[in-house]
Amino acid sequence: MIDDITIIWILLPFVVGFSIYLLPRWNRYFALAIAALSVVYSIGLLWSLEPFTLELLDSFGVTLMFDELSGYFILMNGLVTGAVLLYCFDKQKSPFFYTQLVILHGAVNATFCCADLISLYVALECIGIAAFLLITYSRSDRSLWVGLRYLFISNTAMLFYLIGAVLVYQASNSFAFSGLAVAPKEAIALIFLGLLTKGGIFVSGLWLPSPMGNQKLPYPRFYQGLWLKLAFFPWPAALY
Amino acid sequence: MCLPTGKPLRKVCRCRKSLLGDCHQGHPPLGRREFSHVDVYARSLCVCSNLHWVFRHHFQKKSDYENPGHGCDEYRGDRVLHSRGGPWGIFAPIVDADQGAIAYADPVPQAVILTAIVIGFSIQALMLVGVMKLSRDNPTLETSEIEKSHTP
Repeated sequence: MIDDITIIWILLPFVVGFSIYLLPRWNRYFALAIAALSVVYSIGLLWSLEPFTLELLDSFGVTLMFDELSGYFILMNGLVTGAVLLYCFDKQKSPFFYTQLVILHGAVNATFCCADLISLYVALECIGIAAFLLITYSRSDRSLWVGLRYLFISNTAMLFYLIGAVLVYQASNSFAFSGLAVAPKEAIALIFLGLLTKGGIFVSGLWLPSPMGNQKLPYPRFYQGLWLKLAFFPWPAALY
Repeated sequence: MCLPTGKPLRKVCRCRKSLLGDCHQGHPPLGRREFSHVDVYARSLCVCSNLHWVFRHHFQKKSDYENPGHGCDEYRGDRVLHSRGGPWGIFAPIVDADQGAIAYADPVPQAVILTAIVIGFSIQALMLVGVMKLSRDNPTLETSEIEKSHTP
């Protein structure tokens, strides 16, 4: 039962995100419903459930892990998305904006519940694409240039991450976070390098202030604390 | 003259006259092959049933098709290589079980690299669109100039 609800909850933002294009009149309400759904789901997760793991597609497939930590992060994601939506409610945004917002919301949710390096990679890249489209929403030359830099640097950084992930696989025959315990130092260094750059933390994050600081959109500002730092979300899970 | 093309469902004529629209054998001209409604419905039904199959099997949870006698044994990768696909026929067998242990390329990293390539391509396409839009005002695409005028 809870498995089915969880899968539906993960898939729904993407389905709704694309169907906003089919029913553009209801875009804001759809997006609000998705944010509300995440809030309700996370409260349910925090309220009643013990941590559980979901394995899809056999042992080399996607593993999802739900515990208290991811519950709090999902709650935060739902609240932040809801706040952005309420802020933009009467600002005449196009359906495209709401589509990207909902897809970004879904990708962030996926980041919070994945338990292996490759699912994390896919989710982070999905976030990168949606974030680029939101940064360049105004289509001014400045926002385009800033968005290009963001996409280029984060994509390059994620290649280092990918090399590290493959080294982890070589050492432990699995992409699960637990494989980091037996991984060589180079793998951990490469994964750290990728996530530090993507997350914009200290030295490797010096490129970052410009994409974030100068947007007319509220969304990057609201989210700069979230979709940047969530690159670091897996570390507590990996260390335990 | 008309050239037969293998065994098509419908005869399509490739003669010069046919291109002009009046083949002496009465074949439909090339490039104007007409499909009946039944044809179109049958084909879309095929596509739908394929999609249905993909969805059904890709969203099966592990417990649903893990059963004994599934051909999975000692070492990793065997499930992918040896299995006859469980009850559903999901995995194509790469090595026959009676061949024993032989060297093989692990398919998991290959799948991962393929994923990364697809994502990389999509991101490059997105960046290309951005560059094309930037090039309207900066036709030389000189980054130092763009930096000067567009860095906040």
